[in-house]
Amino acid sequence: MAGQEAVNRYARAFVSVISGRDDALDIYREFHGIAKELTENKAVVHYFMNPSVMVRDKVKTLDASLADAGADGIVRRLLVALVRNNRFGILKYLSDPVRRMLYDELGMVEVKLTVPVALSADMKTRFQKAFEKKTGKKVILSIETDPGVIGGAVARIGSLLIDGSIKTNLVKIREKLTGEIQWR
Amino acid sequence: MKKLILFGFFVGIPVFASGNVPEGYWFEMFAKSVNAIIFFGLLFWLAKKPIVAALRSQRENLARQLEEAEQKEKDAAERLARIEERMAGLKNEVEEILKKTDAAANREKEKILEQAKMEAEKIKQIAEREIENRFRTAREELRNYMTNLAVEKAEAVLKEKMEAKDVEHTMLQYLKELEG
Repeated sequence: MAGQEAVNRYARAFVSVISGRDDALDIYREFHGIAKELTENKAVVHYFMNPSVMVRDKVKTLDASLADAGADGIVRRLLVALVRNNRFGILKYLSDPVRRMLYDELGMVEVKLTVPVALSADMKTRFQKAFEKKTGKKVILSIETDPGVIGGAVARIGSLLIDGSIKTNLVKIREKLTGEIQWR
Repeated sequence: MKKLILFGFFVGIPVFASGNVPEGYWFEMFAKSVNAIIFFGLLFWLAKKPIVAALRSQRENLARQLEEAEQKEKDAAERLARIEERMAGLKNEVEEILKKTDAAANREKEKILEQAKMEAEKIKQIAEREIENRFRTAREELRNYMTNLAVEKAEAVLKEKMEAKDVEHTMLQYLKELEG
């Protein structure tokens, strides 16, 4: 898909620029915040996607807004490049690949942990350490609470799923008894 | 000759009956008789051959016709015999054909009965398979229903009965497995 290729291309370029800096994660967070603000505002999206508005006007408007907001130069340059190249449409799809690539570059990995009840600080630390030991990378742990899990936990590390929930065990029991695969 | 005397008798009787015989009557009678004899003789001499020939021919024709009739009768009798013989043969032939037809009909009947039996057996087997399939499907549906019910009940019981420490225990178990 041409759009996906463009997303990956811009993401790689952006990550290659910021990954060498100490404040790479801060820059990413700033980019993520600005991208979210811009893409969730319908009027802004309409303005930047409108072909009847001159590109230079869009660039001027965006640059001025970002300067007022005190955005980092790299972030400003990326956003201006997107507008100048008529690629504003891919902005909302750019954040996730940038994060993944950046984490990869920095030797970090994102783990999404789903648990039935909120974790204590001690448990969070233990999970953090366990995942870091397992992956050999620094773990960015995001925790979600879902009572439907019943017990145990479900961890997603990239494309790897470690499912030790009671809910899944019940589903497996059901599949074993009925011979039918239940899609959740 | 008898005919001639008879002729003279019939001519002379009326003359004697009248009792009045004119002069020269007998001479005239004689002359007329001679004329008549000559006439009839001549007639006889002239007509004898053709009449005899005609009579002979007629006799021969009759004989021939008789022979032909006899021959025809013989032929008819022979033909009748042949026809009767043939009729007798035909009767046998008809009986033979009837026998063959009966045999063929019986064979066909047996064949049809055999096919009907096979068809009935097939239908029976299909019905048995269908019943078995339905039974298996119903059994599976029942088992699935019972399993789903059991799992749902188990889930409900777990949600209801599991306390915070139990949930934490399950998470610790997961963590231990993760830590290896």
